[in-house]
Amino acid sequence: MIDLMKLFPEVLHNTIFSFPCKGRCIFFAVLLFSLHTSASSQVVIHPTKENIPVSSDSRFELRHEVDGADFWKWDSSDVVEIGVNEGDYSQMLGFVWDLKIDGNGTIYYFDIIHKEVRAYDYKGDWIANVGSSGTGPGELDSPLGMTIFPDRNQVMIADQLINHVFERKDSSFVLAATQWPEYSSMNGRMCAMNGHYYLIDYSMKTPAERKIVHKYMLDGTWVTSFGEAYSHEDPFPVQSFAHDTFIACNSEHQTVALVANHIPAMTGYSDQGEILWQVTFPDYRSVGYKQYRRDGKTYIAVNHEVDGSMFLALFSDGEYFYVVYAFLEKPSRFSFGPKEISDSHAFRVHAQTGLGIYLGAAGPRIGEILRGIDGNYRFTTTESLGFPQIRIHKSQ
Amino acid sequence: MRIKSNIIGVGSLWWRVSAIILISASFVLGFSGRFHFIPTIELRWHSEGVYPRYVPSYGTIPDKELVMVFIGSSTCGYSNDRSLPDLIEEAKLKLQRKAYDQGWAFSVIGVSVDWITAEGITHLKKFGYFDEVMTGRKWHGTGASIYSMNIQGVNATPQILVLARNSKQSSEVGNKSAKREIPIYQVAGLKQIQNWLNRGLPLPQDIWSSIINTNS
Repeated sequence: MIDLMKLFPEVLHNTIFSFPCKGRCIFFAVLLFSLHTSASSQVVIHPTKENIPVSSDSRFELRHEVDGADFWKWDSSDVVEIGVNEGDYSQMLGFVWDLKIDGNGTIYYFDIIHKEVRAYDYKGDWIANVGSSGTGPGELDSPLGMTIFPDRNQVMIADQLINHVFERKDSSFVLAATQWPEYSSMNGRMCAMNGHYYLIDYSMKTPAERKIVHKYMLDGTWVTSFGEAYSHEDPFPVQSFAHDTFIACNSEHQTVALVANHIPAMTGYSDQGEILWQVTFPDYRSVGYKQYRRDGKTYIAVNHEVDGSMFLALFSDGEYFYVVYAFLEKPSRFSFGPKEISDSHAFRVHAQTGLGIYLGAAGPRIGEILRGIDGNYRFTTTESLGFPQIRIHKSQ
Repeated sequence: MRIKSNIIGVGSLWWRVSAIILISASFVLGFSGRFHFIPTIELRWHSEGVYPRYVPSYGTIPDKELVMVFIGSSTCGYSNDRSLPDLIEEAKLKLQRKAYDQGWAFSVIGVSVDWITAEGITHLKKFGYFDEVMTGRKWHGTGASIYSMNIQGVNATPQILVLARNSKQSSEVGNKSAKREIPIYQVAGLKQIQNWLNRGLPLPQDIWSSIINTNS
């Protein structure tokens, strides 16, 4: 496009006034359109095409629009609820950001409103909070998330730049260690298996460190980093995608799985960091990020103008990874408020082969989302009654 | 006749030049901002704010007080949602009723997480009357520090924080009164605030009852 603003004023004046009146109007319209086009050209929508994986093997394409699939059932014989409208503090939940199950009858959840980790049993009874708030040794300043080491009866909480390890003693949790990891968790999403733990962080230091998964020994010694970051020259979208990445560990097959929101794919890595498989989700509709410049500054934000899908959970049980995404839509065309979940979909992927199936809806009703599985137990979260709840469904 | 037309012509030119000089001078003076008595005409859309019903007490600060802290921001999309001012006004009135039912006083603090104080004040104006307002320095500001950074919980807007202030000690041996401010409940997010109101503003019963029974 010719940059008209750089032309000499005289030339511009002569050009404009050489047109008749109607011509002048058209000229100004074209000029305005050109300016608009040049402004719009600075907006970049992420993920860019080269960052969206395409599967060459249809076996690794998982669709939710499947006819005749043997969908799983939600006819639970027993449902236990954690979370009440009004009651004791331990029974009033804030917002369930992360949920982990230790396989020994304990649910841990990270409440992002109250910034605390709470432990409950499968009957829904509160056991204890893990740690307490503060800035002293073993106190939680601004926790981000957690993982559990079931065989050691320990819980690790990612705080600002440090990790606290708490050990369970009957109904209480005592501080076992505080670690200062080489790369600290950027989003609180961590997983553990076979004597190691893994967390997400993206460092902008050098291109050589464009890895987002960092592996540690349980004592906090860094082992290795792997997992390619989002490919873009600008660090802001790279960091945004890293921040929106989920991680899960499968100890049966020593596999780590990653999904990043807005990118319709899940990648499986060995515990050494080699890519084992990649599954794509063709029915997932990316919302994406909008990157733009205003007043000389770069901004990046979730593209709220678009309705689409969001990954909401990734976890492991037995030999499989489970991944959940949901569609978020505005309640009405004229609504300015938050989007609401319209429907959700759950998939199961074998941790070793990457072959997967569609399971069906990720909850018994709209807005209820699967967050964990332990054998016959399924754990969901919902706010369908107007307040947050964790529901434990025991399958028949 | 010819002389007259010349006079008119000259006069007309003189008036035109004078008018141009006068208008130009007015613009220069106006833009220079040196004369503040020049009135300005301002066109504004109808305010999105709420019709205020909550009125601060403007009285003596009592010993026991329930405090509602509203934390918003002029740059936060959800804090600027059209439905929020009505929700906040409703929360003020309902929490005030809860406090009065227990014989407690009630006050509302408005915090706007903004860099520019004028923008913060304008933002808070949409939410009716407050007993106190705080803004400026974004998250480093005094209001944001006290009511968000120093209290365990999420740093997000819009948010309502419910606190209990009790300036008497529960200990029998305490001679000197100590100001205590205890967080009771926290709710963040437009939808979450809406749900909390729809549910009748429930508060954790164990904390609430332990506070209201102190020194009762």
